[in-house]
Amino acid sequence: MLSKEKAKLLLVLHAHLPFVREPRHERFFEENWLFEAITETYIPLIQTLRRMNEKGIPGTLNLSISPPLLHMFSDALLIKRYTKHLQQLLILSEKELERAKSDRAVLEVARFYNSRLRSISYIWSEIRADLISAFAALEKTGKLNLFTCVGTHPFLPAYQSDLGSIRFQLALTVKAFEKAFGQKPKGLWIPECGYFDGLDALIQESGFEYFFLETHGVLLARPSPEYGVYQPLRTTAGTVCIGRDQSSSAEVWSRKDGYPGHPEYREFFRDIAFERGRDYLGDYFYAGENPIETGFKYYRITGEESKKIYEPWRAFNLTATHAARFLSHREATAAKLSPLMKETETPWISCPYDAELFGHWWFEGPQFIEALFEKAAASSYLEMASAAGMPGAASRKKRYVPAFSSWGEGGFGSVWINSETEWIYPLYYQMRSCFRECRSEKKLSAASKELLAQMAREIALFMASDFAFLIHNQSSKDYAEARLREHYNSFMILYHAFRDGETASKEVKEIMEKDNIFPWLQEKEYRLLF
Amino acid sequence: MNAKKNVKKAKPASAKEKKPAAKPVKKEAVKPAIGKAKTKTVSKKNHVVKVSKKPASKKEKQVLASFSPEYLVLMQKDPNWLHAFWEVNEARAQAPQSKMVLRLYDVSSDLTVRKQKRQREKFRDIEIPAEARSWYVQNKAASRTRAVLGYVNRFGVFLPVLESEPVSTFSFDGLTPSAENVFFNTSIGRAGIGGFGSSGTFSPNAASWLESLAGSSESFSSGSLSSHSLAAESAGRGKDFFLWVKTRLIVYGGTRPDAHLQVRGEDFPLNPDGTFSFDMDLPDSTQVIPVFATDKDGDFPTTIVPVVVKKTE
Repeated sequence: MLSKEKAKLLLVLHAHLPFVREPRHERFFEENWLFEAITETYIPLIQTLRRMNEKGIPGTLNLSISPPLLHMFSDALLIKRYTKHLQQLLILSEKELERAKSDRAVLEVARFYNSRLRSISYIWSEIRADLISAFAALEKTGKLNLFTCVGTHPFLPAYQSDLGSIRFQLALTVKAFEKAFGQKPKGLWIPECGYFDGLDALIQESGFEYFFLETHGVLLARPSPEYGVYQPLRTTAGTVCIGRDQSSSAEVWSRKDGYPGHPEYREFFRDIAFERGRDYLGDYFYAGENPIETGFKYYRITGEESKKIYEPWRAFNLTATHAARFLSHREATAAKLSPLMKETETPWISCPYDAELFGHWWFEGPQFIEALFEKAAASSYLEMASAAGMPGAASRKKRYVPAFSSWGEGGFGSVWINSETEWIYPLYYQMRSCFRECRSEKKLSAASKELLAQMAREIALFMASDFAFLIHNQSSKDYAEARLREHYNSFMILYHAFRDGETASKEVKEIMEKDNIFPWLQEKEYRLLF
Repeated sequence: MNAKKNVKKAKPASAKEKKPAAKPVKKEAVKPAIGKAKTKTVSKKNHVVKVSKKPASKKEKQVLASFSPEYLVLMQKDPNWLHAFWEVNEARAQAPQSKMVLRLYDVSSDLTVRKQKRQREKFRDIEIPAEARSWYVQNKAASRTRAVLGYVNRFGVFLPVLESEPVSTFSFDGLTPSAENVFFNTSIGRAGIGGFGSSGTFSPNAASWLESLAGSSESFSSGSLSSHSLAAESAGRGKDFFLWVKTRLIVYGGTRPDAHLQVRGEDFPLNPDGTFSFDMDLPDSTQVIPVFATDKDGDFPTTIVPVVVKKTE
């Protein structure tokens, strides 16, 4: 065993938010989702990876950044707004220092936030508000393996009857990544791990070398895989996939036993936005009558209704303990399985999570990641690996057919295809029929092509799985329904403008200004929808 | 995104936790889709009204009045259910004295889907109320399915109107995963302390995992699971003599009786006096056995990791 190559631990983070840009309102509730994620997850991840690099800690973190996020990272309006947002947070943090000065425990937390926000502002100006370049620079150091997710994040099994739309989304995927990082992506995160038999062929023809699957997508593959989820499989189409290790997932996600639920960690739900009034917070932290989260949270989970004051440094120390436990469990898996495998094979353990879990939901998550890499550096059993180093299709003879699966509740499609969401799909097929009707052999004007490109953007945005998820989860349901309705209506306005030759109406301009995702989208991409 | 999507409503843990689908399957073969309307025109408007809860805009009404695409789409919701929905032009609506039927073809072996082959394909018919615009259909064991919507006239002749794209469909029928395989069990996260042998407290249960995934026992036959066990160290010298030697490992310890204990990441019960023990087969291997405990409040997190190397020479 000891002479064998160490097992490989893939820490995979999937970063995604729906396209939430809203130029029509100076301050918009859902836009704040992006700002929270930048402050709590994306910049802290950059800090973590930089520290790892400075310390010389070996290993690579695998990070998928979805195309809507890549667009929002480079959108001038959102960058300007986030810069203002940071300034507003700093002003609030100064007020908090003043408010907390009579209570030593609270003051310590207020000081922590003040210092943390200064550090985040420093990074933001140092990277010149360019998160994409910051991540690209980290990839060059070897600390990151960057890849991406399908288009606007559609649940692909719902579109199996419309393969053209999946090809269209995959074309957007490749181009968005190429525009951001100057190279084609090799790895692919399929939204919600949603897989159906045959999808591998489309993934392969789009040039991807590997993708990630839910556990049973691999375990129920035909033929039955010899090593469970612990070896990448070559699919019949000739690409490679790897399944999720359930234990490592449950240890983090489990509501009952997951690390993020430890009483010492920061309580997510007690933001001062819900405790201080408008007079104190100011208009910036309100959207209409609704308070917007500030990120200032002073309590730890505690484990009971009467919450205790948060102690940041105790919580951060605890991440080292949890990282050690997490690692030892993976080592146990490696030590058990490695001797049962051929001499030339070693276990690959795939541990994927939503990136926003680390920092946003689990505030101490980035410190956990740093501690995990640091402890894994001393492991005799495994190492933190890049998915790009997985054995490729060329090295695998046996071919497998993975099974229909997703990582959503129930394990298949019922989160996105159910009685509450089934009205979405007929609207989608109406748009698709209208779009096909616009196909023309005649030479079109540049303005007409622009209209078709914008119609294709509306279809892409409509397809995002986020909306069906929010409706099913009864979370921001009104927003999700309104967004679907808006993309449908915008599409129909564009469709009429195309048919009537009214290419420059005020309505059309407003739509193009608002839904400006994939500005490079042209005939080459939208013709896949014909 | 899932973590974000739970905002204000739930803790992040809920998003990825697998819960058995609580769908009763032993019911009627089909169930009507929610929100079906009485006439086609109303049905269309219903879809729009459901989106907004406001009256459709002038433009929307104009669009819906001016364009009427036809389609029939089949989607798989889960291993047990398919969802079909359609739109048919009024002009092709049901003839008198006929029944609307959704015909599902098993096209598992027909990837080219040629129409002339249709005669030999297996199919089943589901009668649909004339006013329906969508329907849930129980999935059967076909790896590829195509739907055709049509009418059966009074002479029993099927008159097709619309057909769907073929879609790959998944069911648990005929699946034979290696359920007692150590790799399978470790993959599903139940083998951490399973396989410890005689204690039997934590025997791996791949069958129950698969059943919960299936959401029912109806479409899943646990009898189809195969099993095998690891070979023991043994030596044979002809017919009349043999020797086999196996080893077992006993792990034991103690903590406060009200402490919380985990072994290899899974909760482990304490004896009333706070002691614990388990034993397990010990083949040639390196066993890493993290033991973790906290006090009753979750304080004093403590981890001890015995590593046992066993080899046979």
